[in-house]
Order: sequence, then structure tokens, then C-alpha cells
Amino acid sequence: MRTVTLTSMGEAGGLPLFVWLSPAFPVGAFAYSHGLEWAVEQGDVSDASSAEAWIADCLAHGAGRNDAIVLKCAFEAARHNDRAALREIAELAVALQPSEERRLEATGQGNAFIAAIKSAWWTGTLDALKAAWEGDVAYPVALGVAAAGHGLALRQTLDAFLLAFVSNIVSAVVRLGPIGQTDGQRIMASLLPKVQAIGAMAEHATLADLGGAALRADIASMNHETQYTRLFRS
Amino acid sequence: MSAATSLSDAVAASSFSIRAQGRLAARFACVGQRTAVADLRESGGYRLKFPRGVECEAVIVNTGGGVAGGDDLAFAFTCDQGASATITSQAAEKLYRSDGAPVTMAVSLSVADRATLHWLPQETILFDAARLKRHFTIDLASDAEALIFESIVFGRLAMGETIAHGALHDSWRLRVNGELVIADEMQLEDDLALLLKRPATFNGAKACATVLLVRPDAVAMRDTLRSHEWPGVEAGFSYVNGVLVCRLLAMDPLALRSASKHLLETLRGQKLPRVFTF
Repeated sequence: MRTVTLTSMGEAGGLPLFVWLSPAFPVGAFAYSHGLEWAVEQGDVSDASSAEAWIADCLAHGAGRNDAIVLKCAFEAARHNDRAALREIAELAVALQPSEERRLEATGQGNAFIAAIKSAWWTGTLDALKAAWEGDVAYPVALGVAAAGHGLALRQTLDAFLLAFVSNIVSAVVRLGPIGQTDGQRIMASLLPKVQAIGAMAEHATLADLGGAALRADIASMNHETQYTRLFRS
Repeated sequence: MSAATSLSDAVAASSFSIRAQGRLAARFACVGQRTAVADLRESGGYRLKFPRGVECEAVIVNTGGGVAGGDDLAFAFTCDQGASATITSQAAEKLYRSDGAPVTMAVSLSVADRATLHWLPQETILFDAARLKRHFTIDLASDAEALIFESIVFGRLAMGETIAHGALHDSWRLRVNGELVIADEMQLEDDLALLLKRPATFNGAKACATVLLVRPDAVAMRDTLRSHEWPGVEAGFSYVNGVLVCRLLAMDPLALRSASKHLLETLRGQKLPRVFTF
């Protein structure tokens, strides 16, 4: 049954990614700002150029690059049905979250993604993940496992994931007010080469490559936990 | 080439690639109502000193003065059941410019049930072009308590040096009862001057500190710390997966020292060890 699924999805190319990473996919992505709501409140992000610089840092030195590496490792572990590796990466991906709300952002979306894939896009790698790890599932692990199960191309999955990461933060900043829709699109277009460069790096990365320096993004997410008026859960 | 020649070549090569090996290992155990050091192993210029005091306090001394690229350091400390110890250092650890090889450092802390460990070394100072690769492993029993503090200063700021290049890869794993609860991977490489200026990384800050607390009152301590003022530093506090995680950033290392002192004394409910001169 699994082989049939793989073949049929392999023929679908990367199309499932358009569905899984669309804002309409039921993971609640719209509810998370990745700490940007605090950065906007503090004035760190106040216009298009400061928004782009902050998001570029999250992408190149923060969760963007690290989640891409986690996704790659989860994808490979699922593809080879390596349960010990799956367990290691699933546990590590949750433990790497720097704050209570970033943990919620990662696992709220990850658990919801697994539930949606299980009910509508079932694939055998879900069972392998469940056998390997019973705890909360971080979003990049969930996507990596589903993409491997459906025979999608790793590089395309990485690029699409990173682009969706940027898109979701840009959308949050637009809703928070400091930039308009057009600025948001300009930021997306401008960060596209960076998305591709990080996708290319992550395709050949291992767990030893994990690491970042986006400490102010982490601190923003910690401080967002105390923000009085807020639209977002992170 | 004879076997003897190739062996001496190998020894010569390794003495170039590994400049020094520093080792410290100690086990703290209950002796009656007190904690005392049970096993102690010291080598490569590192010593452990024990000032007289009420609690068991161990001070790491690097008799070599600083650490150079290629040096390999390994510290392993264990607290037995019911023991209570504080480990600190006599001075800031200075990491000199490297010609390419990183300093490799492995720190391993293990705390048994009903035991408490405070790990409070003074700051690590990265000179320009220093390279450090550190693995920090903390293993706690389910009923153990720990307060972990580490701080890093980028450049010899007192000398007017700002760091331009270098590398830092700091990898942390905190396990409670064998379960991984906190992992952290900090990685800064190449053009550090540029990287440290980025808005969501350090925004020009030149020093950072991380504090982890595992204790039944960790949530309450998070709220206490959040209610305090933190002049001269940017601070974040969060309770994640049963652990209080604190991050501090500062332009001025002295501001970081004074904030760290206030933070640690608040969490300890007592003064810092006397070797802290700030």
C-alpha cells in the first residue's frame, strides 16, 4: 500500500506542498508571529527595511536554517525507516525551542499537521514516527516525515518550507500594521535568493550543522509572553 | 620509512595539533551533614581549589593563564545523592587568537537525586580570531536541582579590541531523568563584527549570558525576575519544558556582570562565591 502511495505522489511532483504549506492548511499558522509582535511593539520592526532585516536574521541565523536542517534529518530518517534517528530528531526538535511560546508555535503546528496528514493524506511514515516518538511533534519534523512518505523531492520541500516560514512572518507583520501588502511582497521577493541558499545548504546538512545566533529573536519571543495586548500566540 | 620514524612523526604532529590537554574531574559526596569532594583528578594546568566555607565550593584555576587554539579541555563533575556543591572559576577564561584550530571543550555535569549543583564560572573572553567548540552536557536525576550560568564576551573590550573574526559553536544538552528537555546550539562564524551587528542577532551587543534553573519554584522565579529592572541589558525569561531559561545581552560587559550578579543572587537567595569580584 505504501509503495502505491509513493508512486502516485511521486508522479504528483511537488503539488502536495502547495496544499500543505498554504495558509488554508489547518495548522493554525496565522496565529503565530515568531516573536514579531513584540519586535513591532518595541519599535525594532517599524518599516519595510527593518522588517526585512529582522526576518532575514530569523531565516539565516535562527529558526529558518535550523528548522530546515531538522526537516532534512527527519526526511532522511523517515525515508530509511530509521526509527532511532527519527526519535533522536523528534526529541531534539522540541528541546531546541528557546521559549514557551516558540515551543507552542513549533508543536501546535506540528501536531496539527500530523493530524491533518493522518486523516486526509495518510502515508506509512506516520506509523514509523508514532512508533519512534510519542511526544509532541515539531512542525519541520512533521513536514519532513510526510514529504518522505509521499516521495516528494527533499530540496523542493526545503525551499517550500522556508518560503512558507518567511511568508507567514511577513503576513503577521502586515497584520500588525508597520508595513503594507506591497512591502510584504517586496520582502518575499527580496528574500527568495536567501531561501534558496539555505535550502541548498540544508539539503546536505547534518545535526552537527545546527546552530544560530538569533538571540534577540529568542528574547523577543520570551518577552511576548508578557505582552498585554496581542493578536498572536507567539 | 621505519615504524619508529612514523611514530615519532605522529607524536610530533599531534603535539602541534593538540597544544595542551586540560582535565578536571571531581565527585562530590555527602559526609555526614556536609558535602566533600570524593574523587579528584587534575591535569594539564587545571586545578580545583576549595576555599574554607560553610558550603562545598570548588574554584577552577587555570595555572596556564589562557587557552590557545588546539587546546583540548574536558571537565566532568558529579554530585552524589543529597550532596550540594558550587563550582566557579578564579578568573575569566581567556581564549587567544587561533591560527585555525579551535579550542575544544567538553563540560559534563551530573547531579543525582536530592543533590544540588550550582555551576557559576566567570566569563569566557573570546579574543579576536579565537575559535571555540564546546559541548555542554547536563544530566539531572528527576529529583535533582541545578543552577547553570555561562557568559561570553566578544573581544578584549577593556583593551579597546572589538572582535572581527572567529568562531563559536556552543552545543548544550540538558537531560532530566534521561529525557532531553533543553537543547541549545549557538553558532557564530567568520565575520563576527557583521553578524553581531544584525538586528535580530545581537544588535551590537558584545556580551551574552545564559542561565538555566531546574528547581520546583522555577515558574515563580521567572515571574520574580520579570518584575525586576535590568539596566544596561536586554533580558528574556521563559519557563520551557520544566526549566527556567534566562538570556541576557549587553553592549557593556560590566553591565552584564552586574545584571548576572543580581540575577544569580536572586535565584540563589545568597551571595555569589567570593571569587566574584563584581
